[in-house]
Amino acid sequence: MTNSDWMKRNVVAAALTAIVVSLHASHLYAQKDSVYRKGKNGGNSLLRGKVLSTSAFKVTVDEKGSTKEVPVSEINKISYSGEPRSLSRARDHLENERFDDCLETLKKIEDPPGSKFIKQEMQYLEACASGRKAMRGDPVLTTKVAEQIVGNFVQSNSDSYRLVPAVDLYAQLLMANGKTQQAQKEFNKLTKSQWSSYERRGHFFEGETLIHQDNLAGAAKSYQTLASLDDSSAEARQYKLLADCQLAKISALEGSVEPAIATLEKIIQVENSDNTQLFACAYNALGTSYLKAGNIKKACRSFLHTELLFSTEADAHAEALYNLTKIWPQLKETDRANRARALLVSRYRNTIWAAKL
Amino acid sequence: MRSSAFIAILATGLCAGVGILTSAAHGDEPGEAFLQALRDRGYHDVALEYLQDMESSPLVSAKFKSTLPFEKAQTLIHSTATLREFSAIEQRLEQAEKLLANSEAAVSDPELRARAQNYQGDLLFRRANLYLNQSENERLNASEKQEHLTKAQDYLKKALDAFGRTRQSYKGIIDNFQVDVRDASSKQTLRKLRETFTVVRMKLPQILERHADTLDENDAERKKSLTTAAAEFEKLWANYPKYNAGLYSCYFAARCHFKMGAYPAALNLTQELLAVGNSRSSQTLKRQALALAADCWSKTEPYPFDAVIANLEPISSRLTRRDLRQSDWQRIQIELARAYHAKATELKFANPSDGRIKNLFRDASKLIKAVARLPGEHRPAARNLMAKWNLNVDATTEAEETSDKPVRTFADAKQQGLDLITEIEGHYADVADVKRLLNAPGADKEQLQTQLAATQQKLADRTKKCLAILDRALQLTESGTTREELNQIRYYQSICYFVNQNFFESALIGEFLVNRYPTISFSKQAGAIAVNSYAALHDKSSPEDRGFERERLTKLAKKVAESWPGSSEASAAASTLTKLLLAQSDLSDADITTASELIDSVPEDSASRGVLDVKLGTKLWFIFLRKKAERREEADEIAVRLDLATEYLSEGVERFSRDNVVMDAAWGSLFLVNAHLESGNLKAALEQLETAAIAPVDLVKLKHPAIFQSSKRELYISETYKIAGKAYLAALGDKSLPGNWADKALGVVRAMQSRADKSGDAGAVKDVNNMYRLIAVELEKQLRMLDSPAEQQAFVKNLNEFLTTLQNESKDPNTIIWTGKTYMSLGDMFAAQTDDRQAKSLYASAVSALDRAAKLGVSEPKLVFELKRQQALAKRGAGKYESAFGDLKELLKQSPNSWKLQMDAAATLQRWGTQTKTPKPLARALGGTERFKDAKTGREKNLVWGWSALANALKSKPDLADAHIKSVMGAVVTRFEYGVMEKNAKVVKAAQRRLEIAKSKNPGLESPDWKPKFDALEQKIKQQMNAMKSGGAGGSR
Repeated sequence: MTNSDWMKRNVVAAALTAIVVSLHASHLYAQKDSVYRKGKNGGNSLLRGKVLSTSAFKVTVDEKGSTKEVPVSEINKISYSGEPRSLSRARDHLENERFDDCLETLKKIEDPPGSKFIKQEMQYLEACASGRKAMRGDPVLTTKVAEQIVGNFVQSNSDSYRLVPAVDLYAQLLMANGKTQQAQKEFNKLTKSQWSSYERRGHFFEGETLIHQDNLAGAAKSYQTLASLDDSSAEARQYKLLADCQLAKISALEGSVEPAIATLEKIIQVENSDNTQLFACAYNALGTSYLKAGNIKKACRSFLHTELLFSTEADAHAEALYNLTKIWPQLKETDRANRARALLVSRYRNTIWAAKL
Repeated sequence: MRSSAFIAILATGLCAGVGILTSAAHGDEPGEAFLQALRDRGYHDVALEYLQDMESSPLVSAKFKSTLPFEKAQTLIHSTATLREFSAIEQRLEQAEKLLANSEAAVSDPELRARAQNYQGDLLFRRANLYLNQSENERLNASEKQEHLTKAQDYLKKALDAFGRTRQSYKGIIDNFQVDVRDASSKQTLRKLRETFTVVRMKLPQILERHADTLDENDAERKKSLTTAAAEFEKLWANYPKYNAGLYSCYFAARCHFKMGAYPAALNLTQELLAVGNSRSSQTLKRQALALAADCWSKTEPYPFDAVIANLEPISSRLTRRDLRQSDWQRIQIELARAYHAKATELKFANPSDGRIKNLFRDASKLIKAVARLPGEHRPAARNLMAKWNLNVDATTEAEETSDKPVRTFADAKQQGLDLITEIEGHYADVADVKRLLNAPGADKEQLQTQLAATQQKLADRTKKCLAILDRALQLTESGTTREELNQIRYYQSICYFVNQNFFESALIGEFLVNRYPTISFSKQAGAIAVNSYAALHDKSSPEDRGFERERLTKLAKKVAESWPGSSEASAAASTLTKLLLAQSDLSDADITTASELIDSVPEDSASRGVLDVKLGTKLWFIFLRKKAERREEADEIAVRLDLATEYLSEGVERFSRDNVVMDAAWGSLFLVNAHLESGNLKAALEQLETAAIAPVDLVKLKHPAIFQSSKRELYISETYKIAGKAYLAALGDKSLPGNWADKALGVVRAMQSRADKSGDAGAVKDVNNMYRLIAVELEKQLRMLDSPAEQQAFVKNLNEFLTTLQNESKDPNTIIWTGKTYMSLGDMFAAQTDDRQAKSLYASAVSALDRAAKLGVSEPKLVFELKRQQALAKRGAGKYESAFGDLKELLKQSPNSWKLQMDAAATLQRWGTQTKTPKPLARALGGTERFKDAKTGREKNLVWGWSALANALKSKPDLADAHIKSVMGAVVTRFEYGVMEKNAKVVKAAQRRLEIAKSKNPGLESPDWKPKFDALEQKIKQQMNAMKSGGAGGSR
């Protein structure tokens, strides 16, 4: 036997084994629900059993006769027994941000099983794909339409384990549509979600909505709460720094410009500029502070930092562009203002900043 | 030359160079990254301010601060890319040079010094390129061009030295660099130093190649430079085969060999390049290498057609429609066609019955026709080859007709549809070309009409076939046919319908795809076609019946513009909407805002942006003129309109160069000159007129086809002359603008006169006369604006030279009469300022000019009469009152009811009396003189009416209100002067009474023009009355 023959045989044998194993596995999995728990180092740990109930906070699973409660913050996804194969594909599409494919796949599912959980999952995937597609600036699916779709899911599925991310998305859509008061209420719900990441997001964006409503005292309160959360994780530290930036911005808007600028410059000097989210936030806050001080040129430069160096931070980038559309004309640079405007309208058309133009 | 890629490499190299020396990623503001981003974006002003502020800012590191002078110099060098004016570029480069020279001497850090040297090299190279570009300036003469070329060569040598030193410096730094194993960034620093070193190495041969380009082909130094450059590039290629620098060096080396005529060496290198793996960056380079290989093959003897076919055929078969529009691919297609043809010819020679011959000729013909049909730089070459091969661009043999191949599947039909669409686009472009040529002057209309009919027929045949194929494709759809493929077929259908002028069908298809499948490919393109279709339907409908088309067009164009912002289709839709808006006869302020918003949505780099800016600017300019004439708006509002028009015109015009100028832009440039003149910005007006990228004077001088092939060329030339004359005359009076403006103004007048003489056209003659009138008005206006007598004297001196030259050169009595009139008008002005010496000198010049006109011989009765009148007035100005009055009397006998002549006569008598202190002429001026018996009535009457009778005669003529007031003024002044002269208080009082009556009855005396004069007169009379009462100087009879 030649080396080549030997290799071919091995390859064929390996392929056959894989097929047999996968058939066996799919047979086994068809009997039970699979709860994919967040494992260490970003992986998953699998809990197989029967999902008995779900809520916004936990999922109850019967595993070989014993009942287990899993907090939703620890769940990546749940694959239900008897769910159509396309549902799994749709989930993958959503994860890969292929929203059109996700929606198309969901549409093709004929006669979906009667299971409440599966129906809920399908509704969530549809709402989430639609909402995120609209937030990405889709020319056809507007944020207003998406707001309705996601809003429907949130209102009629209060017991879904997907409720918290859905509320977050709903709040973002409300914000994009300029409904800052309603958005604030939804972000506030996140602060009580018992899911630390979403709690922090809730505080942060609640502050943001209050700034848009000119309620600076309320916003400051949100950021102070965020800064005071007792947590030493990297994510918590990040949010504390972001809160510091926002508090400095509020302080400048209230008239204390110099201390605000000093705080922000200190952050810029001390922190790592690879932290693009923080730097984008800091430079925007610095820009707002300089605007308040009447120093248009320095304000322009601060927002330009975000525009030119930290454009991957979509929210901050949109905010910087919005401010630049207002600043450039004051510096008699209408072409530059037009460029900023065109970018804001094309890339962030479905955001509150574009709506503010 | 494909130098942009090299510039990109240099830029990348510079970034790399910057990165190694300045602030780290943390602990500071990301200064150099921000600076580089600002420069890349072209925000050099912001970058310079930033650098200024960073000098004292705690945000950046000390090391970054030490580089600030270099960065400032580099920013200044970068900023020159956006400047046009040579002197401004030079000024900035000099500033940068000083900064670099000071910095290099001041730094001790070897890295920083190397960096300063590197920037200095860049600066010198930039200067060299600047002078090289200048040496190609068409406005310069041969010696000026040579002067610039020599300077460029000098700078290239200096740049070579600078980069040589830079290379040595970096080599030393790298050799002595110690990698610190504890510092992770240490290795990265070394890597970046090496990158910078490589970039510097590449610059040396690049400069040598550029230097060779400046030399004559037979110059030994040229060959030496190219040989050295090629060798250095090849070394780089050998050292860095996996990096961009190496790949580009390989291409540059091949290019150097090509320039030396070493085609095999060049071909070897291109083959090496084509053998490297595919990546996004290598694709462009490979395409360029293939085009260079094609150039080499075309010059190789014997022609290696087999090699050409082997290399190019596989690639050519994969080209898409978009590729076919790309210049390098067109060059490659031509070469492949040549190879097919050459091979077929050889086969035919060896064995005429060889079956391959027909196919090879067919393929050659098909390829060459495809290139010949598409606009681009290779079209002439393709057409030349077709002529050589006796091919007609419109003739298609049956063998090459794609649509005759059997269609069995959807894929077959789609491919044939695509092929036919490519042909259709070519024919469509041809039809447009022929139509354009038909409008050009001197066109062979008959031949072009025949050509047009044939091409249109071809187009109709192709679209008919294409539609049939597309229908077939729809019938052959399979389960696997995607929505995208169906959209593609629909899109092709919409093209066919559009080309066939079935605009409604075309619009419906596009509209359907846009509304139904907005996220699927080809909907966007079909939407653009639909917008054009509705626009065509709109234009075809009668103006009162366009509601439907207008509504659909607006809705669809908005949808396309909003759905795909930034795309060329969205730009085109926004352009169409804007044009629709601007086509309205009147534009409200809301329309202007909408139009400007639409224009803003068209990307800056879109081809239509310039035309739209210019169109809106032009519209705004005419609105400004209308509003100004109406005088309904406040001055501030009018000024805003002027600013807005100037802004749009300026932005639009700046987007064009002489290579791409269109008639709209040429007009825009002319209106911009006018707008600058209107706003008093004379310097800008002259720059726009003469030295801007599309300067109207240049365009006319160069007989630019955009103007000279336009049906409006005569109007454009005439308007250019007028505005140029106006601008030069304005410059004549501006001390801050040195220049031979009088000569230039004369040049304009001569050009206009010559044009009028040649054409004999009444309009051109009128233009010349109007020009003279304009010159007179302008000169007087400017003279009045001068404050000091010394300035006025200097101005008159210049003016005298101008008028004397004109008078001496001209053989046209009209022109000479005009110079006489101008002298007189200026004389009147000086007389009013009581500068009698200057006034008399001007009048004397007027007499002399008018006498010359009389000697030249004037035959036209009206002109004879006018000449005599002017001669009389000139005599009056020169103090020859009796003779002047005599001449006027003679003229009055011919035309006793001419109120102008009557006023001339009364004024002459008045001035006679006043100047000679003689009461009698004053009495005659007031009451009339020269009694005679009217032949008709038999009654005696005055030939000269005098001011009193004139005032009475004119008072009931509203259109002569001004002349009436002038007569009233004459009557009062004459009476007053007479009273003073005769020391007769009663007469002075009578003058006062006459004035009071006139003021009470004639509101015109209260007008802003006359009131100050009458007030002053009234005051003077009162003072005289008081003096007479008190028995003072005037006394009392």
